[in-house]
Parts: sequence; structure tokens; C-alpha cells
Amino acid sequence: MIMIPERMHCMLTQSLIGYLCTADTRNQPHITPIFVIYDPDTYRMYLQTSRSSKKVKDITVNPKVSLTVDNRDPINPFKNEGVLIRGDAEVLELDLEKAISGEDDIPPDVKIAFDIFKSKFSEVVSKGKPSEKVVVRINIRQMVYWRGPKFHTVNI
Amino acid sequence: MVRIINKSMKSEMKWAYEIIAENVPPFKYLPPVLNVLAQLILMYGLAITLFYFFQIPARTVLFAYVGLIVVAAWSLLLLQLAPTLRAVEVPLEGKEKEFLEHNRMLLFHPRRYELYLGIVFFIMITGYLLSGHGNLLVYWFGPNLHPVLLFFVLVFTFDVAYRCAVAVWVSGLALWRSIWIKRYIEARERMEYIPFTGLRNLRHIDLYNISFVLVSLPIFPTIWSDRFFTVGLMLLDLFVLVSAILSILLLRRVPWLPPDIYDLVYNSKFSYVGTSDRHLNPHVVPMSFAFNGVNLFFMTSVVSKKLKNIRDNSKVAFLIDERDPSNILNNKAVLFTGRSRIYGLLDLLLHPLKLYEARRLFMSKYPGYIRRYKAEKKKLPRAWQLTPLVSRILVEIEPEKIVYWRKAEPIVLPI
Repeated sequence: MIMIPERMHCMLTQSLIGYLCTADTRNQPHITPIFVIYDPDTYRMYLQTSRSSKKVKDITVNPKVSLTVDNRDPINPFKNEGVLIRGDAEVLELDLEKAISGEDDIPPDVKIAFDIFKSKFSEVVSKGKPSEKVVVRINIRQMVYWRGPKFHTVNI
Repeated sequence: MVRIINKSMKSEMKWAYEIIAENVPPFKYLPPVLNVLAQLILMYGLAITLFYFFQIPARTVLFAYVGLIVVAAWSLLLLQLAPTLRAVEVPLEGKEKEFLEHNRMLLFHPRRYELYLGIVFFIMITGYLLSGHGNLLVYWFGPNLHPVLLFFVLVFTFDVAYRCAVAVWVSGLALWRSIWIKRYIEARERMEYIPFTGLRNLRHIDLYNISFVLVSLPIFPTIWSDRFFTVGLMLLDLFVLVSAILSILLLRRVPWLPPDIYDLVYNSKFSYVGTSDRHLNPHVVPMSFAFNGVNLFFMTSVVSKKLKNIRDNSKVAFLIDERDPSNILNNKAVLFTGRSRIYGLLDLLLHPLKLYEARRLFMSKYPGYIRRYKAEKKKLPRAWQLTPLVSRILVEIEPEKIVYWRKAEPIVLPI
């Protein structure tokens, strides 16, 4: 059983926007803001994005990713806190078009992720045809929590 | 009306010296560096023969050699500069692009304005030399100057005058170009493209002009005894130097991001810095940062993971964004990717101005943060103490590519 401090779960569950960093084969880092979907039971994160996006291209050639969520205090730097995640991302072989018509089964963990999407981002989620979209799953290997100068690392 | 220059005209756009270098055998068969070297060796051979024959004083021989080297270095610069000026890709649009093409056409105009300017310089110099004013000819060659020697002196004088004219022509046009580019871009209300690469290319070209001045410095001892020439060359160098520096400074102040993205970069307190180690492991953390209008700066602890990553791999990603708390889709972000540079103790000597500039930017942007750091210094781990260059390391990022977003896409789910 891995002990993860409550505050880490809390930040990952509550933060809306996270910053995903990928790197291509030339080792050029790339950052994109994403909507954060975190499943605390499996230590996995999910995101939906365009098949043609730079991050999907990067992940296909180099699955290693890093993601940060944080709370910023513009007055006191000692109150800045955040969670940094290191993990491996995979682009799921899930045809979202076929999933609508019922031709393809949605894996149970992705179903849970979609439920989190719906409840957390109710105002921006709509039902329809997610054409040219893919689902990316991130398996977390390590989490680092910080508040001011104090750090706490958990390996999974 | 501005004439649009097509490819075939572009190939004709050459300076007189280039045409000579490319068409006179055997030099035309050689690449630029060897070409200039061959000319230099030929001139040296000629000089040795002449000086042996006419029994020239050793000091003058030395001066002549210095002069020939300077002229050769200028030639090399000229042969490097011309193709760069012709080839520079400046992805600007509309009026700016038209203006730049016009400026480039003047630079290599078929009427060869640079040659006329060279002739004017030549007439001024020879007029002064031959009118009996000044003592340079006597100082160099003694009272009885043989006509053959005088002929070669005049040929050499023309070489110098022509190269000075090119330097004045290029740097003057560069300054004029920068003034107008700045005006044109500032007058734009909307900016649907980013002229960053174009402006950077122009700045790099202007640095060439400064090397003209540096190359000219060894000439001063050879003309020191004559006030007219000394002051003349000083004024020339000053003109080239000042116009190059002014041009670079003007280009640095040209807005190259859309106004709202500019405001975002100037007003945001936080950024996200992405690095990657040698095993392609990405790493992203929030950072405070400063922006000087061209490059980005951040300060990091000497023991931080990102500094280790940057030492492994200088490529970084730098994201600045703004969230609208009332509407999550209404966000704005700009991503810079580029190379980073780490400043160390040695840079106190090498780049004091850069360090001072960065320090000033951080002090004015984060006065509150810096006060708190100072107040709580004793409680902090060593790596967090703000000892510049020792525990806090300055990193500068020169953007190479810029992407910006306005508004996130809504999520569409199949359930």
C-alpha cells in the first residue's frame, strides 16, 4: 500500500488546469495546458486531445511525460504549493467515433475518467462527435509535492 | 512605387567588388576565403618586389603589410556579408516587406551607389594627399616618391576608400531600415504573425557592421602622424558603430508579439519551465521570470533538477498563461521554445551589463518576493538563499519558436 499524503490527492483532484510537458526525439521539451483528470484509485491521469497535436506526436515517439499542478501565491512565495508528476503516457487505441455507436467497448477505467470529466468540467463538456480526438492515459511513476521550500516525494 | 524583385534580378544584385572577385581569373575559381587569401599573397609578393626595388624603409613595409591585411579582412567581410544580406529571410508582411525589399534593392542597386560613394572618398583622400597638405606620403616613402610607387599607392587607396564606402552604405541603410520597420510594425493594429525570427536575423546582420570597425583598428598606427586621416577614420568608425548599435537597439524595441500576448508576457508573475534530461525525461515546474522585450530570464537554485537538465540539454520550453476564473475555456497562453544559457561567476566579467539588466528586471517585478526571501534567509535551505551566481543561477532563454493560443477547445465526450 502506497501512502500518498492527502494534500497531493486533493490538489490533483481539485486543480482544473495542469501543465503537461513532453519531449520529442530531438529532446525539445514542449508544454501545453490541459484539463486535469486524476483517478486516485489507480494513480492514473487522462486527457483528451487532437490526434494531430504536438503532444500526441511527442508521446508516440517518447512516452515519458511530466505534469505540474500548482497554487500560486502572488504575495508570499512560501505559500506556493504544487504537485509534479513523472510518468509514462500512452495514446489509447480507442476509436471514439465507434464508441458512440456502440461498436467499440470503452475500457472501464476510461469510463471512470469520462465520468470524472463530466462531473468536474460540467460546464465545458458536451455530448457529440469527438472527431479526430484521442484519449491519452498517463501512468504515474513518481509524485513530488512542494510547499515553499519543503518537498515530499512518493514513488509509485 | 516599389519594384518587386524577382529571382533573376536578385542574381544581378551585386557589389562591384563581388563582380571583380567572381570574374577575374584565377580568383574566380576559388571560394571566398581562398580568393581573398590568394589576392593577399599576390599583393604581398608585389609589395616585396616594389619595396626591394625602391628601397623602402622597414617601418613603411610593416605599415603596408598591416594595411594589406586589413583590406583583405574587409574583403572577406564584404564577400560574407553580401550573400547574407541578399539571402536573409525576413518573414514580414505588407508594407514592412515592401520596404525591406526596397531597402535591399538600394543596397545592391544596379547603379552601384556604393561605388560612387567610394569614388567620392577616393577623390577626397587623393586630393588631400597630392595637394601637399599633410605629410603622410613623405612620412611613408621619403621626399622622392617614384611615379610607379605612387600608382600602387593610389590603387591601394581606392581599395580602402571603396570598402569604407560599402561600410557607410550598409550601416546607414541598416539604420534607416530599422527606424522604418519599427514605425511600420508599431502602427499595425492587429498582428497575425510573429516577426521574431525576421527581427533576430536583421539584428545578427547588424553585428557584422561592428566587425568592420574592429577590423579597421590596426590602421590607426599607420596614419597616426596625420590628423586629417586619423580624425576621418575615427568619424567613419563612429558613424558605422553608432548606426549599427542604434539599429540593433531599435530592432530590440520593435513589438513582435500581438498586443494582448505582449501584455500577458509583461504582466504575468508566473511561468512554467519545461526541460528534459539526456534520457528524454521531461520536467516542468512553475517559475518566476523576467522579460526584457526579446529574451526571457529565470533564476533557479544551483541544485535544482532543471539546472541539471539544462546542463545536459539546453533546449527548453517556456509557457506563460492566463486563466479566466469565470470561464475556464477563456484562457490565453504563449509557449516559447528555444535554447537556454546559464550565467556563471565568470559572466561578472564577460557580461556584467546582462547580469545587471536581469537583476534590475527581477527587483522591479518581484519586490515583495525579494523582501520575504531576505527576511527569512536564515530559515531557508542553502539552495533557496538568494546569493546571486553562487546559489541562485541566472538562466536566459532565447526564443526560437513561439506558439500562442486564445481560448481552449471544449471537451466532447462520446457518452
